[in-house]
Amino acid sequence: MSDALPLLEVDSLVKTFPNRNGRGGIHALNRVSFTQRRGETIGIVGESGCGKSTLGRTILQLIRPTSGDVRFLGKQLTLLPDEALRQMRRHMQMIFQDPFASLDPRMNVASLIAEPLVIHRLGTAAEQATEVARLLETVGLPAEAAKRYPHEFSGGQRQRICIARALALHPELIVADEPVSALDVSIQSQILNLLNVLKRERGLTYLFISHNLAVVKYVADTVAVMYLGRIVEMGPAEQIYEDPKHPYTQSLIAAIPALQPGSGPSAPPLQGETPDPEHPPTGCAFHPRCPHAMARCATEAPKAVDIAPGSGRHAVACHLHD
Amino acid sequence: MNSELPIFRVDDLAISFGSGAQRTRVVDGVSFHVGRGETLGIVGESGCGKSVTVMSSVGLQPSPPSHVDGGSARLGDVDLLALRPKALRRLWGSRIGVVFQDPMTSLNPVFTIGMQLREALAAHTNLTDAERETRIMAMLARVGINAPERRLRQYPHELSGGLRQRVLIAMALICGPELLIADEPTTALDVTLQAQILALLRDLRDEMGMGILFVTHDLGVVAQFCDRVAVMYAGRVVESARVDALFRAPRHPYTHALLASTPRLDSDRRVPLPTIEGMVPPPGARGTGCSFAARCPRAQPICLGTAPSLVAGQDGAFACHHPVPVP
Repeated sequence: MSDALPLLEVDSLVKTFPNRNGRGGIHALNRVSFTQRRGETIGIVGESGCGKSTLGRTILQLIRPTSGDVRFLGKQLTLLPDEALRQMRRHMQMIFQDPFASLDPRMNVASLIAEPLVIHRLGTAAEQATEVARLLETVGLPAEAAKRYPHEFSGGQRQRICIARALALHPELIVADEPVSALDVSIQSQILNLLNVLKRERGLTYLFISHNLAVVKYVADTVAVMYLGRIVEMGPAEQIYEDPKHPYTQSLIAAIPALQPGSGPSAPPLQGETPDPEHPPTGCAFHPRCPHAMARCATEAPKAVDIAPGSGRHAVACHLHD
Repeated sequence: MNSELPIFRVDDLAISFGSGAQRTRVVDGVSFHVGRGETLGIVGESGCGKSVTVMSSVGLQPSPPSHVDGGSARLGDVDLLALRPKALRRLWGSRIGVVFQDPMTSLNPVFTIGMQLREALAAHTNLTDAERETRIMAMLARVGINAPERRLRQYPHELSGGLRQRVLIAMALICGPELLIADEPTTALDVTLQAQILALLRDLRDEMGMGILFVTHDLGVVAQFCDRVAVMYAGRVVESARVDALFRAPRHPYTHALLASTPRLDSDRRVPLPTIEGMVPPPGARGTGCSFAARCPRAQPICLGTAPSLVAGQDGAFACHHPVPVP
């Protein structure tokens, strides 16, 4: 494990979904770039339609990007033919939001967890069965769960099955897309604790996508805030939460209802709604809602600027900081 | 907030689902009240019975499959549970307004916003066409909808999620109800939009003086938006209190655990989040004791045998044999 070489490098990733009449399109990702070290958990946060899920899927090449590069374990994923990509998938797995929709109801838990091993032809049937038992224990499910079917489990248990399935191939990177959003609070905390334990024990690297900043705070080392297809701020979690620089990050954090009655929001609510991604505003996409917007914000898109010079660790795309 | 004279009062409500041998009690002995200009939060996790309780109390829960087995729900001096469907329908939209979670399924997709608002008003008032239009325009402007003339001609799918929720609020409040039922009204919305909608509802409540019955799973929203709160678990109210007291010193171990397991912006990620082990017992398997006993770190033998009843304490009421001490 070397810290010097990043595990994942995303460079100017663009994804445009064509619209129905074939002209223009929706710019879901607009030149997104970042690097991820091995063992680092990056939280991707933002509201509906900001492109966070598209980013996760495009990194895994479940959606092919329009342009830009994704380099993972030293390989350029965007250039890999399908078969080579399938081989790479062993090292990068995904956990989805809805544990009800992501498990085939006709397969029992043992076959669900063993399926990745079968597809990649790893081990004999007996070895696979042993591995399934080990994985069930790892995610905190009883051994007899193996013979049962998804409908017999609660949402939290199903998410454990999905995690066991994702771990089967010993991946390096796990993209978790809203993995606890469908779960009740008491179950959510069990899954978050499990993810943290697995990270420690297996040296996993997570790309953790969520709309819930309090949840991300609990897992992420680094946080990237997205708005309308771009990363507007990215930096160490403590800095993002304690001293957010981008006005959008500030509003997003202020809008979280605190568990202290009478504390009130720390800032007036952000006005308006996210603009139509097919017709994004000119200049900085956030300027029509920004309390600090200046004349140049409407015409000139801000570039990401490093605000912790030399460290390369906290970048903000805002004219207040360039 | 005047809670001495409740405008809406539910007493000892019991609800079951199914029929014959499958009939199962899902809500039992639930009581609460809402005062004028007051917001009562009903909070709990999936399946605790919060929505069924609230919807049944105003006659909006379809029956069958649900049955009200007992209790009363009084709006002023009218017991809603004793009313015939026709009399109930006269109250919905006039004295009782409702806002649901999903604005897309609560608006009719084939009618314009204007047609739906006019219908709501025409059903309950005798205004002239001109008076009706004035009232609609004023209400739309009040809920923060710009260019209301244009919106009236639009269909629900042409509006954004935030605008749709504002239209629903306008529709629920246009007849000036005494009681607003809000069932997870911001759960489908992004956090910045949620803040806008909650601020709007709070201002409207203060202006119009209606009581709000606010159903939610989100404790943060309860802390910021409600005056009092009733916590439900497995079909019962396990604790009710003013929000400041509940968040400062939760007495029921379930409330305590729920608050502790919620990730906060100031939580220390090096410490594992407290969890609630086990699962909610399904209806029909709740036994004679406290429904939370099997998961409760404070449980004693008595908890398994005898269900505690809700007793009033200093700042609220809780149903527990061994409550969490006040810090």
